[in-house]
Amino acid sequence: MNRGFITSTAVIALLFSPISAFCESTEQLEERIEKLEKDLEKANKRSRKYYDRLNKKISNQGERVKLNAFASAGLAKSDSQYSTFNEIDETTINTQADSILGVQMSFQVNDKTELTTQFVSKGGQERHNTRTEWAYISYTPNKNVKIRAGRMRIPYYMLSESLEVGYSYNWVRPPAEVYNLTSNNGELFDVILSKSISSLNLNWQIFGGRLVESQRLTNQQEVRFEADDVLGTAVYGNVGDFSGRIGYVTFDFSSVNSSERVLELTALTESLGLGSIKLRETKTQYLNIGGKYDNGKTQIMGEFYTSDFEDTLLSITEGWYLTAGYRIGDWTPFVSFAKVRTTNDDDREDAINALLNIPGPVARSVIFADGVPPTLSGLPDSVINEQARSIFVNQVAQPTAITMRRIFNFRQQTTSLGVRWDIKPGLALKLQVDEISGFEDTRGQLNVGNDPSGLPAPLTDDSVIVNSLVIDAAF
Amino acid sequence: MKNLYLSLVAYISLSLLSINVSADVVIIVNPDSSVESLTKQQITDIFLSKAKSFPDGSLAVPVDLSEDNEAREIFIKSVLNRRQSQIRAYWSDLIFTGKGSPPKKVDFPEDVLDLVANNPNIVGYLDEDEIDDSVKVVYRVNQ
Repeated sequence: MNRGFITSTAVIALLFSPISAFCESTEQLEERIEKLEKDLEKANKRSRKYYDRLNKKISNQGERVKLNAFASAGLAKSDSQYSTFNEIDETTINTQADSILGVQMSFQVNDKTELTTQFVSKGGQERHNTRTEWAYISYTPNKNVKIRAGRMRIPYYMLSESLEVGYSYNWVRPPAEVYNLTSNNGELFDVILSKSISSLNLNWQIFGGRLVESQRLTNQQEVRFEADDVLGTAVYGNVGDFSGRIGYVTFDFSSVNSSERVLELTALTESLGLGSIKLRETKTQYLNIGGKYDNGKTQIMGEFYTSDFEDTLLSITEGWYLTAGYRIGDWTPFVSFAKVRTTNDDDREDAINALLNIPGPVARSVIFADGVPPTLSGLPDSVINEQARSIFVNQVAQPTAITMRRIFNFRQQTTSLGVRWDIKPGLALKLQVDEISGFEDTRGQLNVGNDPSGLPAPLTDDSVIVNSLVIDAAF
Repeated sequence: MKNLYLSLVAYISLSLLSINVSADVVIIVNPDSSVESLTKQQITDIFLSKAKSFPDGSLAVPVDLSEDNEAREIFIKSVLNRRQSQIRAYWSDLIFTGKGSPPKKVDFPEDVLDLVANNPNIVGYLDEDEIDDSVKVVYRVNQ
């Protein structure tokens, strides 16, 4: 063999072997670098996690206190100078009826316990007296159970609890035909059980407690109700874009602080065995069913309620509404129709007839309870009885008939057209035109003054138009 | 006419390009979760707090991105089928009646990734570019 050849081969081998060795180690190196990079990334992640956890601990301290608020400011005017709706009439632009401010604070005590208070200041009939609307403690033992106790709104109907948060719905104000209770609060407890069965998400709410309620009757009389045996339940849930709710509430009023007129009428109707126009110890029941469809563009919502008060001549009502809207970008035009009527007009009519056809001797015992006046003494009984009957009919039965027919009986319907403009998340402007009509010789839910004799005056409007504008915000 | 045709072609290719540029938004869970896929409705129910658990019954805790995030806009529009203002209105109802509170919001996509990677109960959404194999994709938004 040629030495030179060997040398050159060796040199070539030497020259190439490190290269090939180097080639291999490049791949290995790349792998190693890759591995190191991954390790480094993991280490980075780990340290970031550590800092994240620290940060979370810090931010959780801040998140334990939550502050939220909602507000509405509105303008409204009607075309009636004879009647008012929610204090809205033709004379001035009402800036109070739809104005409201609510502030809510909640404090997370621990993972399962939270304290919440909400203060609400409302214009209109409440004159911005700040109320504690909610003040409760909630306890969530697990994902399917929530227990609350304290001052809460009574969940009569689908929107009863969120009635004041204008930003959460499309109307300027919810239909008065269904949402006609002016105060809805009680000292309550509730338990909400949640369960999902396939695509059906169900919630069962059970509640009880006591209520102290101030209600303004359509004739502006303020009546104070108390009941300490409130009991109710609601089942609500959704399947996809469909949601629904059914609710029931019952209680006996333990104390009712009525106006003088109501007390007089109560004494009279009771003494004549005509049924009572007081609510004391009256079993009261509300039943409600509602549904909603919302696919993000089309929104349809409807609700029906019926109420029942046992053995009373006061108004028992039922009402419903149906509303539909269609969102086009930031604009949601909507229509709405609502109707309410009293369901016990016949009972009152019976009582009125009994009063108008009162037997002479009974009228005499009421009118001349303190004895027959000297001008009539010595006259035959039939004449005295007839005299008493005539006085009774003119001074008691007729005014009672007018009061019952005009105030306790009512019918009303409202057709609304409106649009909601979502200016930006958390801020919306709404315009709405309502036509209130269908009174059928009653005063509906409108307020009309008294006639010169002090009795409720009739409503002279066939229909009333209310124009409203409101800005709603939620933070 | 030719110009019109050309601009049409250019427009179509540009719009195709823009689809390629913006990555899909994906819904993610922890790899240890038994959940393999979720429907749009299941995701909606969980993120709107209507359902409190995954279809297998385990606790579901949604985590949201802060409002200025692009993935959030796509998620709300394409999965929840709502607008931001509608979502706000929905939550205002629940917040002020004490019936629920919106999912916790985090500022950065990495935070979502980190939370999901470390907790089998958490479900989040991210731009596809932001995820790695520390999470499992259970739904993809087809834009």
